[in-house]
Amino acid sequence: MAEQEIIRKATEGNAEAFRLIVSQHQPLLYSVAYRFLGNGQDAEDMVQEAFIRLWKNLSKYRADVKLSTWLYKIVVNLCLDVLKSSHRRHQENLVEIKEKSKMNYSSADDEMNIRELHELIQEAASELTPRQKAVFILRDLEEMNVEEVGKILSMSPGNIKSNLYYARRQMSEKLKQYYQTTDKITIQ
Amino acid sequence: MNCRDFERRIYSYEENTPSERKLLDQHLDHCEACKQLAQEVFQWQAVIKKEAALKPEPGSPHQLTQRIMNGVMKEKSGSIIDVLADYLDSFFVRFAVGTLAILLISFFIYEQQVTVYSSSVHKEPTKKANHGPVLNMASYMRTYVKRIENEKAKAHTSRYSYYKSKQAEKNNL
Repeated sequence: MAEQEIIRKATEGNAEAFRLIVSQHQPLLYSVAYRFLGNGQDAEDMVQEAFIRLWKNLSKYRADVKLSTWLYKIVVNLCLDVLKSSHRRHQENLVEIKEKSKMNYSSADDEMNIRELHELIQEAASELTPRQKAVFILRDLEEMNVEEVGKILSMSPGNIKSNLYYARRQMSEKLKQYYQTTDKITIQ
Repeated sequence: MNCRDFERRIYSYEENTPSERKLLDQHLDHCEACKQLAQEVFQWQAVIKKEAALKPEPGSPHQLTQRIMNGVMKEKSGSIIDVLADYLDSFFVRFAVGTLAILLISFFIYEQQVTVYSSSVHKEPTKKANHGPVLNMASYMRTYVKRIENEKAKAHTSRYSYYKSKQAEKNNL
């Protein structure tokens, strides 16, 4: 079934059509929410809230916007609200990162290195401003193009580039600092 | 352009336009400091790409879908109340209720003023006369005058008849 057809049915109140939308977009939204909040439970709550908001406002959906972009916009705004209101500090994130969701590792060594890297990036990202963090997550971690990031965050390309510059510079400095102090320069 | 300007372009290498990138590449060819910075930045970006390749997934996607659908169904079942609440919360209804309230208050104030005005103009209706003895001066005087007149007339008549009788007696004598 085409996406527009599924959306039309869901708009008419068809729960099964909406379930299809949920199962199709849920992984993408969870990934973004998790990267923002660094906590599996919070990420699931955000994803649920985003889909409930979608269900309530589905009648306002305009076909000229991609549904995924709209959903990303909802979940990113929810996450930004949480970040702005709770003023989470990186220590808090470090504790929460210990219990986290499933990641795909190819070997035990890989798992150790990548888990370490993941924690390091989460820690460094937690020091960015909410806007910088949003741009960094969407552009560098979710690998979206600048145009889509602009649509989701309602930002101009120039503004995105400026936020990316500060975010990437800070991330690079943190990574460099970490790898220099731990003598783990294994980057190819 | 100086090295500081190129620094920004190094961090956003992929986002640069082709002409910006060409200019940057030309600068990197002869600026050792910027070239070194660019190498470092590209290395760290490669590290971040490793992190990007790992997509966080929920513990159980199926359970999460079910949880989301349960939440949606809960919303759906309470939708009539929500629709009503949303409707009552709408701008139009707020405006209508506000207008109605202003009209009622205006009407109440107007009514109050009319009552005060009319009570100051109209006198309270006078009480009906009691059914007990009431001195009606005009009526009393009319009766009184009539009685006096009757008495006078009687007196006159009696004096006249006395005179007549005396006249008759004189004539007889």
